Amino acid sequence: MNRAEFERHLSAYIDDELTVELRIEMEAFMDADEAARAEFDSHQAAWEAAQSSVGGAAPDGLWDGIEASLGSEGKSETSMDDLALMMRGLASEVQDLRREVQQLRAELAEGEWEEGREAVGGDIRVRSTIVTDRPRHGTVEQLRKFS
Amino acid sequence: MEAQADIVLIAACQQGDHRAFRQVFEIYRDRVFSLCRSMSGSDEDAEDLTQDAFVAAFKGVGGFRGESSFGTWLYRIAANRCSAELRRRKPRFQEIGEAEGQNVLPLSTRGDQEQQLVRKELLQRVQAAVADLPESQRLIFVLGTQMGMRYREIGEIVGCSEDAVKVRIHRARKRVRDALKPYMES
Repeated sequence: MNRAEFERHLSAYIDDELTVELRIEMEAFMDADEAARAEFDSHQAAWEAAQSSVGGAAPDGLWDGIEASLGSEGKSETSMDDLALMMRGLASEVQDLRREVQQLRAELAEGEWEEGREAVGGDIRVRSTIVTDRPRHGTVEQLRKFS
Repeated sequence: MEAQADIVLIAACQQGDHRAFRQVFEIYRDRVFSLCRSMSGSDEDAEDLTQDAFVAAFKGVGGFRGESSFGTWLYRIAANRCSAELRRRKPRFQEIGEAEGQNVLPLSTRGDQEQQLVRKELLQRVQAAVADLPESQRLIFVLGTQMGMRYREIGEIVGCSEDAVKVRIHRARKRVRDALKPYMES
């Protein structure tokens, strides 16, 4: 082992990342070379100082911030709850639409129809209007508005 | 030996179970905070980074496939958050003692007071030396020297070989040692 190899392996020696054979070589080199031993001692002291500067325990209250973020961004706890909520919302829309269709059908069934023809440009358009007590010029769309 | 989240807990997290994730948080909170604290240099930044890391972990836990340990996967997320934040701005160096109750011994005798001052100054110099390291060296130094991880795990977190970790950690350690040497010799 030479000085360059000793330097290259020094941190790994301190971190116990060397094979047994290399560790023995490193120790033999330090025993024979005072400067190498001094180099190891200064690295060891700096390593111990760095270890003692490790941050303490995480403060309390960290989870509250995380939970708040998970609440708005995270997945729901049970997907069935979400599905039930969605179905309830859709169900009320479907009910409203059914009511409207029933009303329209009733209107159409009760009313009398008049058929008129008008010429528009070169075409002849057929317009059907329902005759009721409600506004005379009611088309189906207008009846919806008045229902 | 460091506690690890077991596969049942992880599976529950992957189903979106917040309570299971709270348990995961309790297992890893101190080490993730320690990593963020050492990288950022301030308690305030470390708190934000720790929260960001855990939120990111929860959002991405569905992608965890067990190719590394869960801890390694989590530390990688935290390390990436720290690195991204550091690239965005310079870390703020916070004096030891500004953080409440950090490394403060009860004052009883004059000798104790002097010891505490010496200790405080040494810790400040260590933090300054670590803060001066290039970002890539700082992360490896923190993971290896301050968190005591093995080179293999460090390599998995930062995405390099064990030999590369060995070289970088030695360079980082040499810089920190050189920064501390005049103080320690005096």
